[in-house]
Amino acid sequence: MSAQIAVPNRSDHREAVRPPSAPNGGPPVRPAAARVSFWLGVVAALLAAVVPFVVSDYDLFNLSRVAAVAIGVASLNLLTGFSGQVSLGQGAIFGIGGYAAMMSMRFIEMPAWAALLVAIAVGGVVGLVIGLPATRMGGFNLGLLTIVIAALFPVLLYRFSDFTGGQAGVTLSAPALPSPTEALTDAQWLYLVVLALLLATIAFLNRLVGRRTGRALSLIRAGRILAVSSGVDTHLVKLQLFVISSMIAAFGGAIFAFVLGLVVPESYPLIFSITILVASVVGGSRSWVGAILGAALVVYLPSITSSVIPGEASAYLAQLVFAVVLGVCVIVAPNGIAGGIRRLAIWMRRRSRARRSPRTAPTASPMPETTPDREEPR
Amino acid sequence: MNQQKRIRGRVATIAVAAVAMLALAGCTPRAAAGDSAVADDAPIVIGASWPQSGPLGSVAPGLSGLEAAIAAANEAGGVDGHEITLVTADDAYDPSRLVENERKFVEQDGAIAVVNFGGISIAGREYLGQKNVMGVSMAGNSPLSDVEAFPMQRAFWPDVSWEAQLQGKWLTENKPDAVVGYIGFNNDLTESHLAGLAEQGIVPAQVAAVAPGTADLSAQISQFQAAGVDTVIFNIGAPTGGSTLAYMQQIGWKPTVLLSSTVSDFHTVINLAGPEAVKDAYSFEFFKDPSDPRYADDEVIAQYTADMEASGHDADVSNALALEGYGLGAALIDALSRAESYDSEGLLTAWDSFDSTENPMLRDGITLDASAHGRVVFQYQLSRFDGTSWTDEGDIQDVRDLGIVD
Amino acid sequence: MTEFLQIVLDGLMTGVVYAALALALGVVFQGTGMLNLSQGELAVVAAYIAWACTQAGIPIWPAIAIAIVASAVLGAVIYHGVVRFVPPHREDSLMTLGVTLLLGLNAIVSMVWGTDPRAFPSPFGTWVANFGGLRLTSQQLGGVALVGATMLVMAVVFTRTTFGLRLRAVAQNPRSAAYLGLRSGLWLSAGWAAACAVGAVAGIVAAPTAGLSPAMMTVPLLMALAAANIGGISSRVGVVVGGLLIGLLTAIGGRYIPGLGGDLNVVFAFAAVIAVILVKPAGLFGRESVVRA
Repeated sequence: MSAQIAVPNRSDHREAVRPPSAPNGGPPVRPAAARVSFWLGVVAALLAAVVPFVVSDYDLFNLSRVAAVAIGVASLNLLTGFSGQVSLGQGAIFGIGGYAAMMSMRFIEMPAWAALLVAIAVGGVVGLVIGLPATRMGGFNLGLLTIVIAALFPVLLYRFSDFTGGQAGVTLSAPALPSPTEALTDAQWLYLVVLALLLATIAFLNRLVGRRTGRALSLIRAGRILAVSSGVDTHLVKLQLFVISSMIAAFGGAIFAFVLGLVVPESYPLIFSITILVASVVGGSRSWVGAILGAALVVYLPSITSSVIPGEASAYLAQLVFAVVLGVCVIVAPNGIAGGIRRLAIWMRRRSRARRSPRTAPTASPMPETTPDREEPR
Repeated sequence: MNQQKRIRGRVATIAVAAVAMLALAGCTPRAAAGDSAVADDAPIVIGASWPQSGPLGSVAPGLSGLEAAIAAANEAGGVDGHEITLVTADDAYDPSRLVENERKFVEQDGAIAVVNFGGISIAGREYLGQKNVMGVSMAGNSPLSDVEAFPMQRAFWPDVSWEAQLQGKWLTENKPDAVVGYIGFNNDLTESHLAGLAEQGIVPAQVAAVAPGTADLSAQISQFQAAGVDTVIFNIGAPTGGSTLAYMQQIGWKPTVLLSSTVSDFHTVINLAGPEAVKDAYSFEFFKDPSDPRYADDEVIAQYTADMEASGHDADVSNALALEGYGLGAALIDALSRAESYDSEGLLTAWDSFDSTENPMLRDGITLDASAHGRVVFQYQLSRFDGTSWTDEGDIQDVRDLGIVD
Repeated sequence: MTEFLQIVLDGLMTGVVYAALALALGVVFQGTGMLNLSQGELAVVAAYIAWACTQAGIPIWPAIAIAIVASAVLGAVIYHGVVRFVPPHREDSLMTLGVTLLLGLNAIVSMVWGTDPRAFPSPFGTWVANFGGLRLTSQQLGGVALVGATMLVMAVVFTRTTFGLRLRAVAQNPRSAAYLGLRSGLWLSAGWAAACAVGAVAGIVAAPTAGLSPAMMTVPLLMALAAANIGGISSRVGVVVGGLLIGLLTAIGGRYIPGLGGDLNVVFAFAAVIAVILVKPAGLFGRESVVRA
């Protein structure tokens, strides 16, 4: 096992000690393959944009839920995958964003876009308040602090029910994002907006981790001492990341609230925060596609398993299947589904190349050196 | 580097394919929404989104009862030749899954009504209103009485604050100097309950509003005792109520105990606390508990037991929630049998015209009646637990006659 | 004053369960680097096994012994079958694995035994000790004794036996231990077995008070996490003191800090934890580890 870990670390370091800015300051030269993946992304986005004209409103509702949750998962990926801070409280910040947006629409009658900005701002403030102590803590301590926040959030919502609406929560009398044209139903329009916001979020995050912050981050991940000796203020970078992550989580939460049409305390129990972490890890915490896959899994899998499995006590059998699937994912694909797919792709390519030129093919088993410790950002 | 990028290309390809497959697998094509009018012999579809797992997984027997009632009706030939199809789904007490289920029932199954268990049915009211589909919730939560804002939503249990007023009234009449302690969950049910008590001039000296799942209330009990509390009102579900009563019994503290009806049954409290610990507790009851030995020879309960066993729900027979689900099913069937049309509107109109309608769930002498609140149960029987069974104290009280509800 | 002392006692007695669970968390964390969120559910399984044994006619004490042994076996099986496939430095994967174990065990318990809470008879009888206006129930006193005995056994095993020494060696530095010829996998499963046995005691002590139900240990798990933090997860004394402290602070906070009440009383305890962490990140009794670049 130790040998497997030692080899891929090499590639991690290669990434880590890359000079902080590209030569000549210009954009890095993109090889042809990168352009291919870019166009693939475009095709995927276009495909997703066609979906609303093919499937029913019910499916669009679920897809919109996936997209909103995916934003929350992506915000956690930024934290967990790219700066090594494991948070169990992302669901609470997601919920705070939802409440901030819904309340500013309901009580101050803000337009939806302004409510989204309010959610982001509130998320930033909350992120700063939590982040100041949190970024000074290590793994276990941070885990506790964030799990406490997640556990207390619904209690506080009930406690201040005059303000939050208590069990009835906050509802809107009309859809938050009504369709502007006759040609599209509200569900179609909402889906398209949410999809666009998801893609914009991912583009933003991808840029963020690809730039200086990203390189500082890979130093921090490689080792705090290495980072400090390279002149990186680890606390500051981590705090920045925590705040940005909270802002995006709150943003995703606001969109989730728009999709659902309301916020109630029961939407944000502790297990929801934990589910976000599960989605992040199982999807692939170092991949943005992984965030979408993880979100799709936690939204769809419980419903699918419980509708497929008939009979008495089916709900718990469904829960068991859900747990087993997630457990198998964690063990089989330690870098998430996205990481697993990547591994599979490498393996297939090796095999096809080996078949073409059998004499130069490596004799060693193909797997060991293709199990990277950590997935590269996509 | 180059190789890495190419690999990423592959990742993207496979991922895109996976996402597309995930997205499209199981999706239904657009414009498949069917006509909701029921043809001559087409089944009448009712959807039930119920917690079968998750934090409220213990209320699942309610759904078994509902299924048993519908199955029995179908066995007897359905409603005017129409079979009733009950579509069920687990919502794990998660509002977003509840809304998902409701959308499926309405958009894909063509349900004319949607049944839920409790508090989170608030999440679906708006949607059902838009789609003009009737929603019925079991819950006693006060916000569900808001028929004006949500004309399609009804609730089956009486409003929790009415019973609180009965308790308050009973205390002012029988124990005017009582020092009251209240134990409940830290949510709106407690607020509604306290508001009901205050309406009758009772303000508890001590309130312990605890998070669900808290079981060890020894510190709170010490606090109650130190404050001189001599009357404790419980409106808290399993396991807290039972374990706290057991603890009080063990330390030999015997204040007057008032249990809210929905948390006074054997499965929720008595089995856990032990019958001795509940002895001499009072409760304003409206439903029967199949576990109570006094109903061992009850004809209605015998029929219920037979129907439960016939539909394969033997395991849940003794659970009061199952009988209440069965009662809810019976009420829906009664309304359907009187409905002029088998759609949401017809069902809703029939539901709103209960008039001294009998129901298998209700205590003898209590009936279903329509009201402007959308609630249907108004009568209570004060009962005292004699160590084996709940016994009647006095006559049935009607909150409408007492000026608690108009 | 009597009320204050009684509430202090009540709080400490509640904290006993947290302490035992926190000790289990600590042993697992030290060995496999896993923040085991399923520790509470494992304790629930143990309590159900004990209950099922009593239902089958086995007297309560042998039933408890069976439950503890079965839990230890279950712990070793879980380590061997699942946990060892995830490398120790993958904090997030391990935590997720804990969550899947939690969900899976919860589902199995709910399917086998149902979700209705069940009465679990106290193995210590139902008498009350009164002294100076204060009282303790037999269950509270017995719980303290049982947990105390467990801690004592653990302390002896870990510090006085070769078995414990090897266990600690593997947990602290698997590579050096390997040079000594210790098979780390075997010893880490032994660590899991020990942790689950301690967790089983927590479940059995909690069950008579809380009533046996699948969600019985959800709140105690949260408290045990806090206890592990405040005391220092690497210290066995620390987690136990931490557990008692959390129980105490929660009870006192609920009673004497206005506005906290019965649901936010944990805030006081958690605030104390966070204050301690900020001053001393390794916890009250924890040791800071020195890192070489």
